[in-house]
Amino acid sequence: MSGDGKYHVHYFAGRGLGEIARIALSEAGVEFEDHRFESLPADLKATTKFGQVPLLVTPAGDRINQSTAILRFIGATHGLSGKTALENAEIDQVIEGVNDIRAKYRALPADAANEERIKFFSTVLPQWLGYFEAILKKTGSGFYVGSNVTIADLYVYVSFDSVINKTADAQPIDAFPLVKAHLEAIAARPRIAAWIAKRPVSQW
Amino acid sequence: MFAAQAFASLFSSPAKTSSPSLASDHPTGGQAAHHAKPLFFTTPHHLKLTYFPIRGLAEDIRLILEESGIAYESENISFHDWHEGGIKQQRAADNPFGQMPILYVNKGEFILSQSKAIIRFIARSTGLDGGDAYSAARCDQLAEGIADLRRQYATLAYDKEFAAKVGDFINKTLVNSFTTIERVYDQNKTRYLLSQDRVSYADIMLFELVDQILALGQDARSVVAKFDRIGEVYKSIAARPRIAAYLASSRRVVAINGASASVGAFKA
Ligand SMILES: N[C@@H](CCC(=O)N[C@@H](CS)C(=O)NCC(=O)O)C(=O)O
Ligand SMILES: N[C@@H](CCC(=O)N[C@@H](CS)C(=O)NCC(=O)O)C(=O)O
Repeated sequence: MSGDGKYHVHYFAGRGLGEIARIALSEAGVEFEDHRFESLPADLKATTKFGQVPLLVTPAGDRINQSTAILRFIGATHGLSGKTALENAEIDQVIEGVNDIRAKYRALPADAANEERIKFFSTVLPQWLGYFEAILKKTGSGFYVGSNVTIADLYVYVSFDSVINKTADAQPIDAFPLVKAHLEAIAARPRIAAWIAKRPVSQW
Repeated sequence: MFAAQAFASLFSSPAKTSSPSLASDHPTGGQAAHHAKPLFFTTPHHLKLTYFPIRGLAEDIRLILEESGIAYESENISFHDWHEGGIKQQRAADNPFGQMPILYVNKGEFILSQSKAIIRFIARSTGLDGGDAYSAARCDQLAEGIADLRRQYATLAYDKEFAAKVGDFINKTLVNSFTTIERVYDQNKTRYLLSQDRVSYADIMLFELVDQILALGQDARSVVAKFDRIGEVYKSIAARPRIAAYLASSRRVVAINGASASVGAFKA
């Protein structure tokens, strides 16, 4: 495989499952080309592992699919992973917890009056935000694992920001001060703030 | 119970923990996360895996432990004891999200939940992730693709309209996913994802998924039979000495899913 010496992120013209790669590369302080499209080009689709994006192409030309595999790779190669095997396990635990709440959110019917949807925002989401609040309380560092920023923090931020926090009904966050402060702190990190300021505006 | 202090000490100052090896045996360094050698389980640790008496989200972990030759204790908690018997509340401090599986290392010195976090933790510690960032990324990539299909399988298994939906699952979802997974193996020159003979954690996850899918019956079997590379991985893993011994033993859990599932349901 030969690359062109640069990172490339290929994803739809939205945040969705692609934004975590862009955020992680931004926090890592590396340049990347941000390829966006309205529909997945067939020739690109054919080169992906499961016919899907996001796709990360590394400076050496390696191609990695699956958003969390991409995230872990960036973490491992740019110092955003844990310092020990135990910290990495803790990071994975947080990432998978985020995936659980994302999956519940994604399964909801769009209809705002739907019972399940109402229940999600009134009970399920607060319950899960409570889980995250408890983790932050335990670490006491403002980060989900250890005392430095890791891919776990970035994943929580991107997921809550683009999936949950942006929804009109997502007020429960106010009851969880540590979770809220963490989201604000991550958004304010200089490289992330710079990326947010320059990224294209999109609905999702 | 989960002791916050013990937990903190594992991560901060190894000198204060009763088993410094837990925290300091395997620093992963600046480039982090990876290491050339199997590290964690080179010294004996007591492991206990806690879950319902089904395969569900725990069987990949059991298989990976078995393949690695690591002894572990299985704590199987009945659905009743978990939900109505107060165990869920008793274990609340052990796992951040109120769920099983849970892995207890050295009687609670380190406690981990989330099946995929546990799988990776063991895989990293035994080299089943290939040991470097690129190999691990390749494993993660395939494992996530497998997990995507596993999730759809589980949704179907518990769907009240199982009978009406199973055909589409087999002929569309399964065929599409297996086509992409088969292609991943086709692009490899080797039998397993990373090597001809050394199995990776993703290969083991594929084995278990195929096994769960075969339980759907003859139609699923016919579809699976069309994918040579996947079939080869499945058969060769089943024949690996430690896995074969496990599958033949009483440790292998029979039920795949909970009691309300339409396939592989738990029977009391
Ligand atoms: N589990 C995968 C899911 C990827 C996925 O579903 N990608 C969608 C977009 S969000 C896609 O590429 N769909 C286009 C297609 O299937 O043709 C990941 O996390 O990367
Ligand atoms: N993403 C989690 C999901 C865990 C999960 O859903 N566990 C279920 C059993 S399969 C559970 O513990 N249910 C009982 C409960 O939530 O009280 C994982 O992979 O470990």
